[in-house]
Amino acid sequence: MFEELTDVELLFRSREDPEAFAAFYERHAEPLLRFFARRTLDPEAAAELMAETFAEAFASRARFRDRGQGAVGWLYGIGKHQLSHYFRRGQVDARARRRLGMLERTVSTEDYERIEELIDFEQVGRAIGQAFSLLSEDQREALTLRVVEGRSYREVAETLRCTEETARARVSRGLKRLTRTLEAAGLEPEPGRT
Amino acid sequence: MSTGSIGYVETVREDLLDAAWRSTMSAPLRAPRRRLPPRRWLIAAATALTLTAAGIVGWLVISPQRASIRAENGSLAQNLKHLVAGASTTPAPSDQEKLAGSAVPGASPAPAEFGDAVSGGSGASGSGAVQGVAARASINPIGDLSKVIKTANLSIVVGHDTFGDRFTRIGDIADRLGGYVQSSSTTGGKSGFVTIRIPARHFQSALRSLRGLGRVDAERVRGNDVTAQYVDLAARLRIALARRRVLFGLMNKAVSIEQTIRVQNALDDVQLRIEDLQGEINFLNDRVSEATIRVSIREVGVKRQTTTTNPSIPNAFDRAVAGFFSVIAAVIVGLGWVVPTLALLVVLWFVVTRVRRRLA
Repeated sequence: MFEELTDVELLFRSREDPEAFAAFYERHAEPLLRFFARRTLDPEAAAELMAETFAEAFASRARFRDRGQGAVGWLYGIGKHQLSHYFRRGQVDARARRRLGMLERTVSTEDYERIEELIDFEQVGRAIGQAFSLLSEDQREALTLRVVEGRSYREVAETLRCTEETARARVSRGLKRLTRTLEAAGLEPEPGRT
Repeated sequence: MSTGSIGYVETVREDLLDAAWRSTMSAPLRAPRRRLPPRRWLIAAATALTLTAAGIVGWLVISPQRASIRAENGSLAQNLKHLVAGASTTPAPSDQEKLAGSAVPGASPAPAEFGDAVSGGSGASGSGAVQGVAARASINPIGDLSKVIKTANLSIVVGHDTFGDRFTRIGDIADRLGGYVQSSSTTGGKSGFVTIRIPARHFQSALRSLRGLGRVDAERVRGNDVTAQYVDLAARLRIALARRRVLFGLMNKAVSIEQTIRVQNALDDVQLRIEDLQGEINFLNDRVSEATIRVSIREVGVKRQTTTTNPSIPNAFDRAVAGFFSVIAAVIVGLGWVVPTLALLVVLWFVVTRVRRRLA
């Protein structure tokens, strides 16, 4: 029934017809779940973020304006906002779901594994390995000692025979470069149909 | 990969659909509101609007007050004349008290001291300075109390080959009336400037004599009434003198070095203030007692010389500072009107909204 409609049309239609929003959800739920899963590496958090993002999108659908970013861009904009809230607070916001009277659902073991599959650790691992290889020797060593082995900056500095400030700078620059490389490697939102 | 393959996704879909139906059934979706700018911009715009409104309201409130203050200042000298006139005919103590002010009740009158202080005597001390004014006013003509700084600018054109003679006669006029030439300059023996200062009572006769030197090309006479400023300075001086007298008394009673030093510091401050006030009063007296006439004189056919007045930088700075504080003052005054009004409007809006919702 809604197959012929674009995402933008679905969102506009959903103001009167809830089924239109369900169709929009069906198109983008799984890509959005993958988007969150790859960024949080936590299936439960990813599932909750997906639910909260759609709840917020539904509550805000009347404010949607097509200004070129399309419906998907708008949806992922909400998603990124939720994600930054999650990283900042360490927990997923649940206000939109509460407002709509939605229950908080738990993720079953089967779902947990299925979401892990979505993460595609193999691909992520490859991307991380590739990104890691692009770092300078100093940055790679500093990141390995600090992030992988969990050593203190003093120990990192002693091992690398540099000052603590230098060690911090190497780790910080390495992480930034790693992030940029991973983003460029395709861990970006899927465009979908607009 | 279909959404049905993950149970959680399917469950959330059902939950969302339920919620969607519930919200659609309970209340139809409102017409989409206009997208508002980010909140910080709204706050900034609201603040700017409030401050602007406050500034306008404050300016509107302050302007009439300033006008009335100016009017009061203008009529102050006249009122004082009436008061003094009353004092001279019927020397009622209440009139003298009004003139003297009641800032330091009980201060003993000392007309001679005031005379020293106001006329620039270096040994001014004691209190009751303004009572001195009242006392003198009851004896002397009213003109003594009214303080007006008189200035005039004259541009005179004289005949051929008469410039030297007329130029010298300006100095003679000043001498004859008990005044002096403050400055003079000539250009090419055909034109020049002279500034003379003469006793204020001879101002009109000096002008008449100067007009007789040739054809008056331009004339500007100005009288700046500084009576209010003068009375204010005199009152402040009286208070400072009284305070100094009290401090002298305390100095005599001081029993420790610490007390002595503290009183001495206070005395130094008061002394400085007294000297400042005396300086200002002396300056006013000097300006009032002697009128200033600037004469531009040239022979027929000589182009009029103009003096270029450079804009005064310190004055500009003062005006800028005054303008800045005026705007701030206007905003503060305006906020006093705007904030309660806005608060009332918000309460009203809140009540109206509530009532409309209930009725709906």
